[in-house]
Amino acid sequence: MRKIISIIFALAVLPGALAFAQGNKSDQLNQAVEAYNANNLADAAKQFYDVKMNDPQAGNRAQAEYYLAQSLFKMGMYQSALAFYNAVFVAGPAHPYYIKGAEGLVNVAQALHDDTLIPSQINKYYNSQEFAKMDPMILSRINFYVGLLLYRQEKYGESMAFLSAIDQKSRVFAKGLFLQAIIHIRLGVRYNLARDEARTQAEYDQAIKLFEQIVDLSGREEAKAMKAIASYDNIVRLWQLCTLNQARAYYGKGDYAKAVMYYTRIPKFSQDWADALFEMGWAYFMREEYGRALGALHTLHSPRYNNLFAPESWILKATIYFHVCLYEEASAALNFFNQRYESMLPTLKGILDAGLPNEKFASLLLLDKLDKADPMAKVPELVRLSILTSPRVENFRHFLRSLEAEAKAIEQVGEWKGTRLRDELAGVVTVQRNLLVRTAGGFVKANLQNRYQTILGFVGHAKMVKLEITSHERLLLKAGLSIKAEERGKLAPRPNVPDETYNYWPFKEEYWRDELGYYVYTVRRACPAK
Amino acid sequence: MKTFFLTLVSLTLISAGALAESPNERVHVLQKRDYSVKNKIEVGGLFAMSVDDIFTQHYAGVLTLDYHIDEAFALEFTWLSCKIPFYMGDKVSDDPAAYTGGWLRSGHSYTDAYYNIKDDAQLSPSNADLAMISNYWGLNVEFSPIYGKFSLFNWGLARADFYVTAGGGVVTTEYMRPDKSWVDTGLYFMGSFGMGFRIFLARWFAIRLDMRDLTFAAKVEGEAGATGTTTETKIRSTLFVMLGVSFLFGGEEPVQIWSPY
Amino acid sequence: MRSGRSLRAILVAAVIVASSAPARADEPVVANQLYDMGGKFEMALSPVSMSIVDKYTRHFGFSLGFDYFFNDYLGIELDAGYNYINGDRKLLNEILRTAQTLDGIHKLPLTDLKHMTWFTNIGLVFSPLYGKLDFSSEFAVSMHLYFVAGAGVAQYQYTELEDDPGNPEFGSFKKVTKTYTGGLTGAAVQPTFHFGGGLRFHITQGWGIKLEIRDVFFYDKYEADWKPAGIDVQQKTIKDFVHIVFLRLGVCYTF
Repeated sequence: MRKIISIIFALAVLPGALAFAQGNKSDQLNQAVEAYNANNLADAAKQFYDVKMNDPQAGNRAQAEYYLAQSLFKMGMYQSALAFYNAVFVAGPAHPYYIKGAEGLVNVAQALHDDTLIPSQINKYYNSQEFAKMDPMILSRINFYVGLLLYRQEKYGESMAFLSAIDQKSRVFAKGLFLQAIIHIRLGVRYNLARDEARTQAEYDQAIKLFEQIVDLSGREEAKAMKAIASYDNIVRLWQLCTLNQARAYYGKGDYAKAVMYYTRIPKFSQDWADALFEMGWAYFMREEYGRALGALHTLHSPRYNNLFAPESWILKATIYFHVCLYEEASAALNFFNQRYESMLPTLKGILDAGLPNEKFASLLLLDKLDKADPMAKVPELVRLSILTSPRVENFRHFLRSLEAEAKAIEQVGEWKGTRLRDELAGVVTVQRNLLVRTAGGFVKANLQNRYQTILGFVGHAKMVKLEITSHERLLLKAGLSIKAEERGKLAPRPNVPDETYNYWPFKEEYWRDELGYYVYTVRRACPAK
Repeated sequence: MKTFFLTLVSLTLISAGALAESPNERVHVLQKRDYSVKNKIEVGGLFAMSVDDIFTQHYAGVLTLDYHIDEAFALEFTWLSCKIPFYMGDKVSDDPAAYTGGWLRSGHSYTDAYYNIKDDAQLSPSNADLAMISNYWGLNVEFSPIYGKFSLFNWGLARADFYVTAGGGVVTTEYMRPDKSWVDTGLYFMGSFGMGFRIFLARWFAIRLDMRDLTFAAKVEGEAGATGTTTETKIRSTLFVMLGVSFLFGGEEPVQIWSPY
Repeated sequence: MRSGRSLRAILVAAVIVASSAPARADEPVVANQLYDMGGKFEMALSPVSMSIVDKYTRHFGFSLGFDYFFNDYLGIELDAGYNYINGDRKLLNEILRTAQTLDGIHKLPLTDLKHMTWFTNIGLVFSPLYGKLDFSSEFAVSMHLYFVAGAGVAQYQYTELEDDPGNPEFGSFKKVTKTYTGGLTGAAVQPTFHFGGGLRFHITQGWGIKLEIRDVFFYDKYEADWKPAGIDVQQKTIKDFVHIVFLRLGVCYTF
């Protein structure tokens, strides 16, 4: 009897107790929302986490999950927010906050300067139907990220599709146009190698058109340009890149005069000036203006660019001398290349063949000073500096700094002491840091591999040039001509000095800063008449 | 002296050989001048002072107006003034040739050597040595064969051009009597030659330093000399050092390709 | 050799991944300066050393210098010379010739009568400016602008008048040259100070030409004769700094 009464009592009380319990969890969500609205973000995060982990109602858990991410984002804990935005996003359209989660991922990507990890995640779960409901500006940014990712994977057709879908009013519109233009250039290169002249020209023309469109965003006058700067991300940098790439496009089309015209527009001492000088050297070489080609390379080989990784410039220099039959000078250029670049190969090979895990490579990128025992300390200075000038390096460093700051911040939040939330967030940050270090290491390794292969490739070219020099010298001897160039041919006429407003003064091994970019060679044309 | 200069020229030629690059190539800098003066009009305002007159000291304001025909040649009009021109001051009532006027001629004075020789030694320099330049208007031809650039402590960079100038014009002269009244001692032709440089601070602005030797015939008639009333004549040469600024107008505008960055 | 077409392709492909050069914020105006004086010695001979902006005296002589440069901006110099032509200008003779009041005057009460014979000094050389000059867009010369300052010793002489009735030039007196003893030391050797500046044109790595203006001055103090009332001769102490400005042109050798 007593037992039955107890059971009846329990059955009577239990629903009420349950109802009481359910009411409490909803209350906790409400309290969390109140704390969130009152900007008590640490407390809000803790409560949202509790709801997410324990609330029996899926709707509450979903809401808590999203707002947990929002709280963490507002606290500047981007990596932690990323974990929960990602969970929302990966849950798919069934999640009531799916679109918001995707938007959150985009915001985190911007905050972390990440154009690799998050975009690849978005691309993996891309849902065009659902994304159509998104804020067009955020969708545009997603399309840009996905387009960039696909471009890196060389899936140009798909990439173009995403990039073309970017809204004109979006802040990434100019970047999208630029990337499309670069794709056209790449396609131009492809068709050129396949010897399809018509398509090559078409691709370059399309690229040029897009570059002009980007420059036109400036309205070609200051007031409109200022407006464009306020409306589009990185557009000033893009304008300069457009000039450089227009030069490249004209070079690709074979219009070397126009290519030179654009190369000379790159401002002296700017980020792209070294590239412009080198490529201008090629353009002048193609126009057979060897004096100006050597002049462009002369600036590149000045003390200002002592730390520049530019092995091909010495091959070009040797090639130019070869073309005018100055074999001694050509050999000297090749010797310099060998001393400076070929000598790096054993060191680079040693590092790459050492079987080091990716993490070991990351220190080159992430640390300013390397310990002597660090394998990356053996990397030649030129190669190290050339890797560090990549804009992606700053992104990696920013990401790492952000993670380190976040780890410290998580430790310091008093409301989270002893909670599962703190442990989970600390774990997320640690995992992400390790992933970042591996990714950064992979980036460095790939770059070292690239530098190694580049130098190796040019070593082969250097050998070819050396061989040609030897065979031509043999021919000269056979023909009874002197190997000494000064006994053959004559110096080219001095370059045209336009008028007396020009200084034409001799270079004497002294580099004046204002003279960089204005060197001209007068070389002997020592090739015997055929 | 001739041997010395021949040696100098030989050294220069040897140096060209000594520093020559490979016989198969020459490297030059072909660079448009940052500060071209071709076809520009230059208006200069300078302060001048005489540095080598023993008994007289001149301070003058100088106005120059140059037209640069090209980078090397220019025509210059110069007005050097130690005293407001054409205004003679107040006439001395009992001596029609004399007049007074202090503030108009703040550019004229005698040196300590004059007072030393007069008062302490009771000696007299020639009256012609005491005649002073009041105003000079002249035309010069300027030749600028040298364009230079300089670095200050290997940090700052400045450009300058150096020139020589020669020409002539007319000068009015005056003489101060012992009683501190002045007489007009006449208008003469004056030769001017010198050299200088301008340091460009902007395309439209430069600092100028000039040295000009002004040579004229100084003649003082009918004044008390060491041996009674005399007429004393002398060819005088006064070296002026001038420092000032000049403003450049016109000329070729640098070609600007509009760039959004 | 590679054809133009494939060159184009390789170029465009290569530049897509081209790296930019690192920007350098505070790089020098001149790199690989051709004529750097740092750690070098210099010997200079100025066979042309003449006084300019003269008052009553004139000089012509030569000087020898030996410098050491700690760096391109600062050095120390040791300098000596002799003015083999030193004496009064025609202007002074002219004034004396026309004078009526020199009876009894032996030591003229004028400043700047002293002329230098030999000198030696030590000083600092400061060269803040390095440049190059382009002559008609054809020929370039590198140069240093420098300033000097220092101190040393020198010997001076001056003119006294001695009675010589019937002197063909001056009538009643003649000029005699005496060694000056006065000033700070009262001895024949006087302490001097100098300052100035010049240009060093570099002709070759070793050889150069120097053009310099230098003001050498000393403190003059001596008892002169004067007639304040025009009748009786009295003593007057003449105190002044006597400046002689030299223009020097010479050659120098750096090693």
